[in-house]
Amino acid sequence: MTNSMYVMRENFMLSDPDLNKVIKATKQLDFLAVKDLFLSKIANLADVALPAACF
Amino acid sequence: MELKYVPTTCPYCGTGCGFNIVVKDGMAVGIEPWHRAPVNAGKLCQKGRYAYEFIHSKDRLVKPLVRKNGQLIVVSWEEALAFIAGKFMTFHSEEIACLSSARTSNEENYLMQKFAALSLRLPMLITVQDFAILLQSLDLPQFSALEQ
Repeated sequence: MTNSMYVMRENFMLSDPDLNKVIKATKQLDFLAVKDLFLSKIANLADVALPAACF
Repeated sequence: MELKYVPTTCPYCGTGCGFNIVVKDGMAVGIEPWHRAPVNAGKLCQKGRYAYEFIHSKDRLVKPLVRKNGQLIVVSWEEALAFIAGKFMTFHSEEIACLSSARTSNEENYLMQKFAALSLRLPMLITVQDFAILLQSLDLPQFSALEQ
């Protein structure tokens, strides 16, 4: 089974309580797209990082 | 010099406080109370009080990045969107997850669930609180494998 994820304006490296579990789970993803204001820790692991507008 | 107040909603958390951003010559330079905002009536927490500082930050992402040979490379919007669309077309709808945020407006979260339900055809939409309860009750094998 393959997995992919699209994340908008969320950094679950910061908000999830278990960082090692998050890194391990994120590396199992086949495709990760992140949209955020900044290049966050999770955007650094992503396959695509899109800039977001704020306000 | 042109100075104006722009009423808007704070993006720091899901409460949705209103404030005025002071815009001087096209640059956000401060926050002033918006007394008629229905949620907070002009009052703000410390994060909202300085919520203009990151707008013109040099750390902002301004161009789409795509990973090529392990490195994030700047590409055009057309190339990035075509790449994402092509990738998602190779997955079944059960293999895709979307995660939205509390730090966006209601309207953006509505668009996100619309994108998930109609474009990606995801079978399930759920809030974070429900998701946590669901994970506890299901005890999925892939999640218990991560625990070890």
